[in-house]
Amino acid sequence: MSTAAASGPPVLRMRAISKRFVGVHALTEVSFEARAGEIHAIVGENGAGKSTLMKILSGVHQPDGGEIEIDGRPVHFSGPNASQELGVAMVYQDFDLVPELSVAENIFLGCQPVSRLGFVRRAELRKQAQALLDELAADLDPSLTVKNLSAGQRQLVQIAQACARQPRIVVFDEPTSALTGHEADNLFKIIRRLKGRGVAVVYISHRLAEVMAIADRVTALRDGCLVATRDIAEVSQDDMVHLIVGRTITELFPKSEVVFGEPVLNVQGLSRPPVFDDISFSVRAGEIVGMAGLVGAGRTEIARAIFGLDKRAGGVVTVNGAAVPSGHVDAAIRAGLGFVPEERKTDGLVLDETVSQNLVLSSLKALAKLGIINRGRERSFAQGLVERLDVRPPQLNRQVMTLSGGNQQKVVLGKCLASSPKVLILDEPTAGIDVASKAEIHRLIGALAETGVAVLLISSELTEVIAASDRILVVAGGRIVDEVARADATEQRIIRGATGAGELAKA
Amino acid sequence: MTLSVASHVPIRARAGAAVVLLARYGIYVGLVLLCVCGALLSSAFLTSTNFLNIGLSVGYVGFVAIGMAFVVIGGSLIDLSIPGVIAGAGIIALATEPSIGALPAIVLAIAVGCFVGLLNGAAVGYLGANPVLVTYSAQIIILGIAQAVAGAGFIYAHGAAFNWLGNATIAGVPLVLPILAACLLGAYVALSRSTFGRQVFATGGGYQASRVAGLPVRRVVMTTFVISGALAAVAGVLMSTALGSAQQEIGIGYEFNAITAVAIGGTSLFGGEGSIGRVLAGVLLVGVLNNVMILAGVSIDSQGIVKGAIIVGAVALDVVLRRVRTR
Repeated sequence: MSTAAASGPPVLRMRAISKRFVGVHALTEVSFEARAGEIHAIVGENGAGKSTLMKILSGVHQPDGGEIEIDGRPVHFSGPNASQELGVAMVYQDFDLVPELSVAENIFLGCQPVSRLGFVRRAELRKQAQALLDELAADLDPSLTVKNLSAGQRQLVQIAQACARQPRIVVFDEPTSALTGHEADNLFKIIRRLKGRGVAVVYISHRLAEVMAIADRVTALRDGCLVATRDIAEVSQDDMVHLIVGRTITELFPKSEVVFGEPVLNVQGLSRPPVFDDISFSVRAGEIVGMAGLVGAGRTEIARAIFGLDKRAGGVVTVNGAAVPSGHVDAAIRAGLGFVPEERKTDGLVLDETVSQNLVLSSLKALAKLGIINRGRERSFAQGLVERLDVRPPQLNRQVMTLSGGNQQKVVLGKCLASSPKVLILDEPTAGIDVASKAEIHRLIGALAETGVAVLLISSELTEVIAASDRILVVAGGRIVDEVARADATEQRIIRGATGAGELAKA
Repeated sequence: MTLSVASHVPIRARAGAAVVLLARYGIYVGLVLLCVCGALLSSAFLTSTNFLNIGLSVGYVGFVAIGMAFVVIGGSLIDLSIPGVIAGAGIIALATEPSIGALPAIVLAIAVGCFVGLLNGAAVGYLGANPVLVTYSAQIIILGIAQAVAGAGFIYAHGAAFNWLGNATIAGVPLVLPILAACLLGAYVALSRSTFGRQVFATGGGYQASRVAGLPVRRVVMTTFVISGALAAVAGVLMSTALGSAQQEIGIGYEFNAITAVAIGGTSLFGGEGSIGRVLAGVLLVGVLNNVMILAGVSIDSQGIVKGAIIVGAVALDVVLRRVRTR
């Protein structure tokens, strides 16, 4: 393990960076530096400001305050190109490649070697691509078409693309979220190689075990503010959790003891090849069942199929013994299912409409007589939900768009609760919301479980899934590969299940 | 360290609120200002005869604009089949009246309008087809059928009932205006008080979110086209009875006049926003503007330029508004 002292002078300095979006302080005077030859991890919850900080570094956003220095010289990025010119390269979680082109063409997209007549020199292109991949010790044929590659191979292309311009700083944003265990090991080797060449590596991840293993230093952000920067040797994983959330796990995910009732949600042999197959499980009244897995493992698709948003190819879903038909959301809601979707802004809310209009959206019929809405009843109905969920500010006629992420999510939850569900399916319910709202939402989920609601909790944050669930289903490659009781739940076991089976499916 | 939203709303958001207000109430202010101009420019403006003229000049567009508002608010951009439906309904009503009687002929004409809307709506709502292409095709097909059946010539009204309908007045007001008023009232109740209206706004404002909330989004989209078809057919029947004749070109231009009125009324062409009050104000604004320009002796060419400029302004406002909202 190299220590921070062994690495070189700061390549990148970001001082007191601030950024506001409508109604929200995304970043407040955050300072960050990265030295040559170090791997500097940034940790924090979704919405803590990691992405915003990196978007400022890559020139996508302009900061409202603060300054950036590269090699001691103040710089100003007018856009992504300017940032690239100055040696910043990004490797994002979603692979931004042209699927129809070859590996080599993608690597040199926009900067191909060109002959005097303006034609691309293909042989030269291939040779340079091969040299670059060799340098990264990446085993990949540059003439392959990108659309036929696995997630891990695509990432290699992206890394090679980033390295083609000889960057001083390379940012990896959640690089392992779609990789198998073997692919992730390979990635770490490449990252260490970059470090050895004196590149400053910025590494963003939710997976703290990974951060412990690879980083030299770690910077924690919370709600848009800098919490601390520490040498990795000085901190334990528990310390890191505390830096990230600012409170203990039990404060964040209060868990009450609930006596489970009968199974309420029953899923038998649910399938929609090739996305998922043979999914069977049940959730009892009062039980919170977590669903963990890699991005793209099929969890969201399973949830959507249970709720009737997508058609099922096979399988049966029942609530208290009554079948929930495929492809009829209305019927699913009447059967007692509630669904909080992953994409809050497109699938959860009608952003232009008010808090009240969103809250009653699934309950219009109950509030109307002969098709005409009783406005008085609507108001008191919505008022009741706003108070129950503590939506702030408590204004029924406020556009939901102007609420904070946490309060928007409370409105989405309130809309589901309005139809008194027996089963609640939550897909990444705390993604992109601040820590205080996160705790509030988990308190609400716990309270619902106490009243006998069966909860299915999908989350990519392992800390959340482990702390909040009574039982965890691990999904990989569209199948349930492991079932873990609360007492046995560890990050290692879940990651092993989530990444191992992915390789089986590919083999 | 929690986020407090209200304490530091950025200046840009406040400017955004001003734009929202302008879009919501600017049309009424504009209408009043235009009337004041009219009154100052000409003593003939503030007379009941003149107001009746304005009403009659925009009456038929009024029906079409109501239907168009449903389509636009529901998120389907435009219904271009309208010229076809107007002509088709007029021709069917006049042609069948001698054999089946006035009332059945009217019912048949409106039913055909609904049916065209149903086909448009099914293609857009259930098959996900592009509304511009679908409804434009519908227009061409219907006008083609009308041409084949009726030829390029006129179909004339024969029966006494249609003759009466075309010339009837209530307290000196032609029948078309009270019928329009009734339709406006019905549309107002449907849009702002009924569950269906809520579904239309929600579907246009957030299609996916409405689907997840369990709303019958596809049926909602289809129904907006049925309403548009039905109202265009009503306009076609009233227009052809008033004229005493029908032919395939009577409805041309109405789709654009209606969308103009809807857009000027601040209804977002992106869907999810709008009101019947503002649609009516938009319709009246176009009528009053024409009237004032005529009274003021503005040349025909310049009238077109002024109208075009106003439409550009309304569309620009719509785009700005969208930017402000989604930022």
